[in-house]
Amino acid sequence: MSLLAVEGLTVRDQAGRALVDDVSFAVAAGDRAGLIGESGSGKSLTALAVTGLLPPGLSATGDIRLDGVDMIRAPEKQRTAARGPVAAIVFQEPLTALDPLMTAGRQIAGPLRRLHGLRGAALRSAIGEALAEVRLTDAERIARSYPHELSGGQRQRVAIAMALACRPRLLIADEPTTALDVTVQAEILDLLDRLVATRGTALLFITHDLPVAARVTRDTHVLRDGRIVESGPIADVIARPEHPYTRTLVDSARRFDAALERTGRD
Amino acid sequence: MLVAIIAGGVLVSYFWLPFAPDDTSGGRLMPPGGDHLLGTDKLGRDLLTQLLIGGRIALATALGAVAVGGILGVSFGLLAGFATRWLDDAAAVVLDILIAFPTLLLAMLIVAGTGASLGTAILAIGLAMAAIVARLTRVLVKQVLGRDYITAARIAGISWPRIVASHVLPNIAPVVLVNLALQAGLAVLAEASLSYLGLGTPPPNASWGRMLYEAQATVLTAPAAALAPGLALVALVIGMNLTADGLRDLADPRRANR
Repeated sequence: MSLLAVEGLTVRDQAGRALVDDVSFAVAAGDRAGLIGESGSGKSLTALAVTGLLPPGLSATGDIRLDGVDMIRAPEKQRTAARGPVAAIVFQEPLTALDPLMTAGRQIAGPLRRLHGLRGAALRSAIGEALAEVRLTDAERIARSYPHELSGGQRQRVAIAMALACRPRLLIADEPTTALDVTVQAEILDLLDRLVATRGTALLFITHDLPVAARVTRDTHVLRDGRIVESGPIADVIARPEHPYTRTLVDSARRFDAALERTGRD
Repeated sequence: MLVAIIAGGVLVSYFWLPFAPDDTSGGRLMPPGGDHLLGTDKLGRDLLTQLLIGGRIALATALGAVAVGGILGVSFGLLAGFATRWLDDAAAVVLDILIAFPTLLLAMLIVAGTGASLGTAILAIGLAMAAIVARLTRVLVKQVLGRDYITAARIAGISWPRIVASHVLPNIAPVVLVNLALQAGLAVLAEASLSYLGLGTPPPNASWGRMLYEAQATVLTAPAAALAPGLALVALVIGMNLTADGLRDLADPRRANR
C-alpha cells in the first residue's frame, strides 16, 4: 500500500472555483515524487491538503490517504495522529518557517517533546544530533540562536532538522531551495537527497524548477492550473515531454543550459 | 523615568502629605512659594497635596483601565483571530462598532446607571480600550496563524492551547504591550476629561481633570492652579509613551542588544 495516495483531489475556494482539480498521485514508502508547476498551479495547496491543513475558506473533495488515514473526512483527532508521526513539511521561506522569537534549539525541541516524549538531557542530545545531521557545525551556538541571527541556508537547515527530527516516513518539501542562493541551494539539495536516501524517508518534492526536480525526484507530476498534465519517471518526462506545457518547461531549461555553455566557452 | 517620578510621588503621598487634603487654612489662591510650594486653590487647599492625590487617581485609572482593557481585549481578540468565515466577519463588524462608540457616551451611560465614581470611569475607559486592543489582537493573531511555523507545529500534532502559549502569544506580545502602554497614557487623559465633565472622580477627591475644571475660572489670576495639574498630565502621558517605546525595544530580541 502507498504511504500517500491521492485520488481525485479537488480544492475549491469559497466562490467554488477549483484551485486544484482532480489531482491523483501516489507516493510509496521510500519513494521520491515530484510536483512541478509554476506559481499558482496549486502545488503548495496540494501539499497542505495532503496534511489536512488547508487554509480556512478552502475545502477539499476526493480521497487522500496518508498512511491509510482519510485526511479529508476522518475526525481531527485521527488526522492529528496520522500527521505528526508520518509526515513533516519543509517550507519555501525559511524566514517564516521558524518562529522569530524562539531559539533554533527550542523549535526543534517542540515536535521531539510532543512526539517522542523527550525531556531534559535526552532532549538536548536529540537536538544536537538533529543539528549535526543537517551538517550544521557549531550546533551548540546555533541551538541558542534566534532565526534572525542565522543565514538563510542555516535557517533552512534548522527547518529540515526540525522536520526530520521525529523521523517522519514522508517528507514534504515545498520549494525548499527557492529562496536561497544557487550555491546554498545545491548544498541543501545534496543534504536532502542524502538524508532521505539513508533513512528511507519518502519524499514529495514540490518545485517550479525542472533541473532541481530532476536531481532529487524519481516520478514526477507536472501541474498546470490545478490539473496534472503529465506524469511519469522524471527521465522520460524530460526526454520525451508529451504535453506542450512540459515541452516549454524542458525547452526553457535547455535554452538556459545552452546559454550557460556558450558563455562559458567565450 | 517620568512615570517613575510620578509613581514615586504618589507612593510618598500615602505616607506624607504637605497638608491634609481638606485643610483650607492657607488662604485662597495663594501664589506658589512659602508654606504652600505650589500655592493654594480657590478654597484654600494646598495644590501640591491635591496634585499628589490626583496622581493616585491618574495611576489607578491607568492600571485599572489597562487591566480591564488588556484582559478583555486580548481574550476577545484571540477568539476573534481564530474565527473563520461569517463568524470572523461578524467579530470584525462588532469590534468596529464598539470602537466607533464614543468613550464619553459609554461613560455617561454607565454613570447614569451607577453614579459617578472612579470605578465607573475605569470601567468605561477599560471597555473602550478593550475594543481597540481586541481589534489589534485579532489582526495580529491572524497574521501569526498564517505563518509556516504554525503549520509546522500543527503537523507535528502540537495542540492549539500549546501553540497559542508558545508561538502566538509571544509573537503578538511586543505589539500588544506597546499598544497597552500607549493606551495607558490615553486612559489618563480620558479620566481627566471625564472628571473635568463631572463624570469621573466625585468630590472631594482631587483628580487632575477636576482640578483643571476648578482652576478654569481663575486661570488668569492664579495660573499655578491650572498649570500644575496640566503639566502633571502632560508629564505622565509623555512618560507612558516613552515607556511604550522602551517596552518595544525590550520585548523584541531583534532589537535587544546583548
